[in-house]
Amino acid sequence: MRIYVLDGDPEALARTAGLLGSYPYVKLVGSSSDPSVGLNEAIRLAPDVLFVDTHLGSLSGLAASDRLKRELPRLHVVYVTESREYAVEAFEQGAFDYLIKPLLRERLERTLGRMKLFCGGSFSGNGKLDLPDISHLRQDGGNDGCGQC
Amino acid sequence: MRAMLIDDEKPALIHLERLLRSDGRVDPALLCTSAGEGIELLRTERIDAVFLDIGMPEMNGLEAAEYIQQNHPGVAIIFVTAYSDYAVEAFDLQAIDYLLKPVGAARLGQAIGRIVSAPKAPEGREYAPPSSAGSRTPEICTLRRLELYGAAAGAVHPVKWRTAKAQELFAYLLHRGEQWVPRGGLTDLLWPDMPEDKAVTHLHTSVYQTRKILKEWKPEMRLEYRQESYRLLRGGAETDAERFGREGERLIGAVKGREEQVRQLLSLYRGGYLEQHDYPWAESRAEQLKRLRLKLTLELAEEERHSARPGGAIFLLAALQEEEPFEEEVCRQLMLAHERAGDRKSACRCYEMFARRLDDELGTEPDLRTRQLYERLNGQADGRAARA
Repeated sequence: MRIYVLDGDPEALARTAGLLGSYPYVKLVGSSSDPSVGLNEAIRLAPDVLFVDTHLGSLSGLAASDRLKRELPRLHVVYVTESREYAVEAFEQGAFDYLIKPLLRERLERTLGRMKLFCGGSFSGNGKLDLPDISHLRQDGGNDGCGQC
Repeated sequence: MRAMLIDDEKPALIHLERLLRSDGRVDPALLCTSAGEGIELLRTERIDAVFLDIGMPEMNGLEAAEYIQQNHPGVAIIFVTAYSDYAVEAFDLQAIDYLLKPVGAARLGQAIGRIVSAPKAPEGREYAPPSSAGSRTPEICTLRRLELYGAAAGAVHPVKWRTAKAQELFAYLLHRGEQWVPRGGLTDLLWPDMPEDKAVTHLHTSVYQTRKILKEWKPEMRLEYRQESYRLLRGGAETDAERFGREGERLIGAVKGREEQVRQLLSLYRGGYLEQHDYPWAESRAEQLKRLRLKLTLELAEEERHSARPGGAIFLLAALQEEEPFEEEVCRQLMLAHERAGDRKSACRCYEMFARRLDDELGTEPDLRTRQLYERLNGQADGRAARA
């Protein structure tokens, strides 16, 4: 699965990226601690999953992922944050998971395990754009992109 | 899709039922006013989704969700609550959604869309991590089935064995601790019907395969051969079953004040000792460990029952009863825990289901103590109903 990490705190960014990098089925396509650079890059790279903080300086992580989901409706969003207060909104937005810092390996593994289940084996691992076919899941519509997938 | 609704407030249940009926995609088949009642029903009813309130008097919704997630992993959980404070825990519990009361039709519709499109978790407990218990996670698991977690693959994937015989050889040598086992004993055990010379050839192949796997995955472990005997050196590693036995024996009769330690230890017990392999030589150890788990859980449940939150005891005992469906003591303790939580109805139902199970499966009836307990609880429940 192709993952992009966006976190305003370079240390936290390094920790998240470091943990993610240790799984053979994860391909870290990019990361940034600058929200505007990161957003443009993420749109260009079209990852399967975005790991993002709820605070990105002047921009909220929820607004950032909303914007990304408009461009990439199949994107899964996983929040990695110090703050508990946006978890209800994250559910409303159809976020895939919400992890509290410091990020723990065991908890992360549960997220990744479930992520594999959600999108089967159809993740691209070779850097090419090869998104899973989820058209059958999108019939419920709604304004949340495709919700969980 | 069939849903169960759990909320201690009847009007909230009815409101949600009405909304679900008018949406039509999910059938609100069962309405429960306590989590205990819901958990009892989940054991016999086929349910795809549970709409769960959080703030309830006995067992709260988070505890119930944890139980459901562990024991019925295919069931989707949607919290419906007046509190916004537990959404992080809801994510931890892999809830599909988290709805704030009062629930509106549009937001509920969105949640239903997510239930309908969510992939099913695999049945059984394949998805449970090997263990989250304790400071050290054993890398050699023998409870439920043999799993060897190696350093090579991020410690997530169990080692794959080339042949079932190589796996059994490894499991048996592990079972015997680090003792020497004579070659003849191994060939008799693994290839009982084969001529000695052929069996020895097979043994050599299995030893070779096992060594190859160890070299790659567990370089600290060594399979040694000397004077026609084999032994497995572990490099200090302890299996989950060994740790469970060692610490469990020490904790029996001394659970009070060590509840958290016991709870962590019990979470190691993912299933019977090597139960998925049906190795005849593992049976007596399996029986010992099963008894130990039963005793420890009952002791822990007893402590929890007397504590301020009997929900914990219900949780433990309901899970134990899944594994020990005919155990009288488990049934009695579960009835007492329901009583302590102020829920005689669930206590009585628990007995009735137990009695039916005994009758259907074994053609017997509950023993005298269990019956007396039921009569006492049922009498009180009737008395209350008569007064009401």
